[in-house]
Amino acid sequence: MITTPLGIGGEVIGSPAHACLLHEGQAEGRRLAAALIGPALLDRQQAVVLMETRGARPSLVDDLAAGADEAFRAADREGRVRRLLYTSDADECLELFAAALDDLAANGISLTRVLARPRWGAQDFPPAEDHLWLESRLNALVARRRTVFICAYDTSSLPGVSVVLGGLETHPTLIFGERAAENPSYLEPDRFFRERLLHLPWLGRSA
Amino acid sequence: MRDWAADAALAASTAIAAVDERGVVTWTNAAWLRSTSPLATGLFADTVVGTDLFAHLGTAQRGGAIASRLREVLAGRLGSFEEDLSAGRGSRAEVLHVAALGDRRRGAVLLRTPGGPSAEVDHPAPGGLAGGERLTPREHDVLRLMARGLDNRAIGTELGISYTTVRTHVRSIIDKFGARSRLDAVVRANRDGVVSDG
Repeated sequence: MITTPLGIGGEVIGSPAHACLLHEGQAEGRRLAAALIGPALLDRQQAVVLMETRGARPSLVDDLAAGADEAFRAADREGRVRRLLYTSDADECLELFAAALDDLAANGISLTRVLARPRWGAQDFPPAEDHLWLESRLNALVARRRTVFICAYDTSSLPGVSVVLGGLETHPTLIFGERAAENPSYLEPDRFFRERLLHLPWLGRSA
Repeated sequence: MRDWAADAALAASTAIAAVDERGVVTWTNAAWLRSTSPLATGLFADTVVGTDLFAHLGTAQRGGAIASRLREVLAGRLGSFEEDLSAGRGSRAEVLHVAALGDRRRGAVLLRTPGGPSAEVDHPAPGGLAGGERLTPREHDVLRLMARGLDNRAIGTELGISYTTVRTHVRSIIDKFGARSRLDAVVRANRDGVVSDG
C-alpha cells in the first residue's frame, strides 16, 4: 500500500482505496471534488478518471474545470484526465473502469484517482439494485489496482436507501466532514450480496 | 378499487402504484416493478407495498412538489382517473400525474407515470419463467454463478468462456425471467427454485 495526499483536511489516504464521499448539495460537492482530484492533477505520474451519467447538469467536468482551472486543463492536455459515462448495464460499468485504469497504468501512470458521481434514477444508469452490486464488486477491482476510487454521494438528492446501502455498506473508507476514516459499516462483498442484495424488498415481485 | 389486472392493456403499458390516504403504498403492478423509467427506479426504487411514500418523497430532491400534489389529490381536489385518461390529461415524464380513484373516503390513489415503459405483453408466470421459457444448460451454469454475486468476467473465468459470451447469456437470463435487472433475475431464480440461495 502507498499513501497519497487526500486533498482535503491535510489527510492522507492509502492506495488502493474505495471511498464514499458524503456531501450535501452541489456547492459542497463541487468544492470537495476539486480538492480531492487536486493532488492527482499536480503530479504528472498520476491521472484522474471522472465517471458520471450522460447529460448530467452540471457535469463533473464543468464543475472541476471551473474550480481547478489551469491545473485541470494542463492535466487534460497531457492525457491524464479521462471521462467515462455510466451505462444501464452495471457489469459494463465495471469493465469501463477496469479498462481505463489498466490503460493508464500501461501508459506509465503510477496512481489513478477516480471520481464517480452516481445518479440513481438517471437515464443510462443501472437499476438501483445493480448499482449496489456494482459498488460492492468494485472492491475486488480496486484491490488489484493502484487507485483511489471515490464515489460522491449527495445526501440532499439521493434516496436515503442509496446512502445507507450504497454508500455506507459498500465502501471500506468514508470521507465525511473533510475527514477520511475506516468505515465501520462496511460489509465484505460476499456478505453484502447474501445479506443485503438478495433481500431487497422490491425485487422478484410479480403482479 | 378498479381491477387493473383485468385491464390488461393499461396495466401492461403503464407503471402504476396505489397509495392510501396515509401515503402508504398498497399495491403496485408488474410494469411499475419492472419499469426502467427514471421516476420508477430513482425516486421509487424502494416504494413497494408498505412504503410510506410521503416520508420517502420528503427526502428526495424532486419529491417536495410531488408530495404536495399527492396531498392535494388525497384531499379530493382533483378529478377522477377515468376522466383524466379520457381527456388525455397527463404531464411530462418528469412530473407525476396524480389522480384519485374509487372511493375518496378511503383515499385510494393511483400514481400514473406517463413516461413509463411501452406496452408489454408478457407478465411473469407465477412460479415460473416468463412465457414458460427454459434456460439452456449453459445459462444454468451462468445463473448459478450470478447467484453467487460474480461479475461477468469472473463467470467467464470459472466457466472457461469469453466475457462476451457470458454477457449474452446474462441478458438472455434476465429476459427469460422477465426481470428488471441482474439482481432481480437472481432473486426470481431463487424464489422459483431454479437456483438455490447463496
